[in-house]
Amino acid sequence: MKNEQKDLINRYLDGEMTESEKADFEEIIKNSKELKRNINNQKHLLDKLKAIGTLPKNENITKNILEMLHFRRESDMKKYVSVVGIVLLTIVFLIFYKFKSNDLDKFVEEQKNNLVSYYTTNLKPLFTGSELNSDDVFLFAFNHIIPVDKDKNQFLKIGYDNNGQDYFELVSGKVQRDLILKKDFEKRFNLNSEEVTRLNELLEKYKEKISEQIVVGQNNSIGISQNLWTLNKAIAAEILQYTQRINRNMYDEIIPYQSSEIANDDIYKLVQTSISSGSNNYVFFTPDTIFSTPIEPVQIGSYTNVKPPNLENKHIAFAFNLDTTCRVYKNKVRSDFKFTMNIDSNIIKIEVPDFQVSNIDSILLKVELIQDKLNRRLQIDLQNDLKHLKQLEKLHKLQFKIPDIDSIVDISLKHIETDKTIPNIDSIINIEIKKYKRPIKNEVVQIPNIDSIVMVSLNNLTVLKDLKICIPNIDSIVRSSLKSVNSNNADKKNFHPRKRIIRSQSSETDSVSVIIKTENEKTEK
Amino acid sequence: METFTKNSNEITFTHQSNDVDYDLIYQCQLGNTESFKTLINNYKEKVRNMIYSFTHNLTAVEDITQDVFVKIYYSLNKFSFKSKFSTWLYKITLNKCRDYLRRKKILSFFIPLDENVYSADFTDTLEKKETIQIIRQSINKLSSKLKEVIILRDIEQLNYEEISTILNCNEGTVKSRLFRAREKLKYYLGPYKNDIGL
Repeated sequence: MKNEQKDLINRYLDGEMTESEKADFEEIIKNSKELKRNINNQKHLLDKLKAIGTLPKNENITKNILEMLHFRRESDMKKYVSVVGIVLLTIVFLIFYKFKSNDLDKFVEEQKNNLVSYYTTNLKPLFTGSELNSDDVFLFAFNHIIPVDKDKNQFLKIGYDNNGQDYFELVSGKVQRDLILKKDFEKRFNLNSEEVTRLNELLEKYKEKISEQIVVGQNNSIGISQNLWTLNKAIAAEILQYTQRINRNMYDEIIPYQSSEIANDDIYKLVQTSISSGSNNYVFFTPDTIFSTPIEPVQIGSYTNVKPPNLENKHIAFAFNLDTTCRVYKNKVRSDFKFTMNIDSNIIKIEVPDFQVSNIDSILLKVELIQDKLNRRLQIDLQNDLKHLKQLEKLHKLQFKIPDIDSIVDISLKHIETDKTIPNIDSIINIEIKKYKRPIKNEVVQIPNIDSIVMVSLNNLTVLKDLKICIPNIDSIVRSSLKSVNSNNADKKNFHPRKRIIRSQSSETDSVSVIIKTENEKTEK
Repeated sequence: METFTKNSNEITFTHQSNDVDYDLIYQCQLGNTESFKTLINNYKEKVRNMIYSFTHNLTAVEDITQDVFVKIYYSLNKFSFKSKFSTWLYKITLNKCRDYLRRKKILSFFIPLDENVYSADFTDTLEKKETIQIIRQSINKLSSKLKEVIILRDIEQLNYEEISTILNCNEGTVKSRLFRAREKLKYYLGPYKNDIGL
């Protein structure tokens, strides 16, 4: 069937023909069976198509639609209400903040102050100055610890971490070992009773001041003053200044020579700063917050028997962002920095590596260095070895191994009675020192002290001159007994068993050696 | 001719056209829910059947029907009374069906085809399929443009003017597409013509 015919059939069946077209077409249909058949087929198809479009009725569809509309209206309302609400609130807030921003800031500040005043009400010192003695003050000066509650073994420890930040710890438990005690200090510097009394008086004046640095509030808060660190150094500096004045020789020998010079004016200024009666910044610990705030001395009441809250079994450490030691700068100043030196005919140019040095008061650093050196102690417990020694008739060698001489300031032989001579020490006491880092010629080396050895008996020495004796401590050798000395050059007449001028010379091998000279000898090795 | 006029407190209208739905729409625009309910009842079955013709999915029929009338409800204020309501309604219905089929086509890449989608298989026996299913299946094989026009004309019995408005094309295009659709359909139904009485 041609398309034209198909189109006519469609138009006829769709009623698209005019009356005349329809009449003409029907005439053609009458005369054509094929056309009739095609029209019938098309009509059947259209009838089938007409009949397929009916689904079973759904009576609920109207109800469902209305319910959906109701739901959407409600949710739209809620959406609009919430959006409108937020917008209105924002506008109100903006208007309020524009005109009342000061009030808002004041409000926030007030609330902060309310919290601060809540915890800083009725402040009292945690302990009274009378609970401290001069030993405690000394302990604080050189060991950085304050006993807070001696019954419960609780103490406050201050210090500096590796980054130079100050920190403090409230610790329950045993005190650290290797403390520098006042009695050891007195012994080392050979203080007589009068000097000890004056030292005690010096320490006494700081007792009340220390007690003011730790306060307790009525609402379970504890406050610690940032002045503690300055106070710590001030006490240490004053003690050192005093000992320097009364025993300069011993002071120079004990205190690292690089740090030994602290100007009196600087010490005075430091002390005055630490004991000034102005306000200090306190860090407060409470059950739910930590904050810092300045506290006037008048805010601190009189001592009453108030104990720190909840300190048992608790370890609190807090670090400040305040470096009172310029340690962080000190770390940048490295000893292995290379200086570049260019020598020309008329000029020597030295290029110094760049490093920063803080403008902080250098006295604090000096005091800290001294405290550091005094803090590092090495103990050799010879008691067991000496017991062994006593059982032997002869001993040729007694070896001590000292791990690091760089940090040795003093060696204290504990548990050894000072009036006992060490028997049979005529054999060489060989100290094998490794990692010795100062192999510089002719440098005066600080030799560790064994202040308890009063006498060294040197027996059976074959050589006096150029004798290399490795002795832990020669600093306080007061007497030496030289017996049976065989030396080609020895002149017994000129040898006097009295204090010698001691010089030490380190060798480039890992050992410390000492050369004992007689007074007659002037040349040095 | 009837005209609509509205005063603040008084509603008077006279019909300006022969669309009997205009007063219902006008009442709906005034917030009369009952009028909208009447509109739904008047057209819901036609809309459902039309949707089924396009989608062959009974679940989709109910969902799309609801969507259509919800859209109508929220768009009533935009109705300009320049065309018949039914034409406007069918246009929205067709668009919804197109959206559905588009989503379904995308989904078919990822998930198996719906059970209601008929795939042509001339080897299927007639015991398994009814005549209507065969015809629907054949219609479904037509391209979307041909399918739309044959559904609107031969199933929904819309006139060329309405179809051209709905499809947004001229009547000549509608007639041309219809001719091709019918021819194609006859071709697809060829194997079954004795069985379905063609």
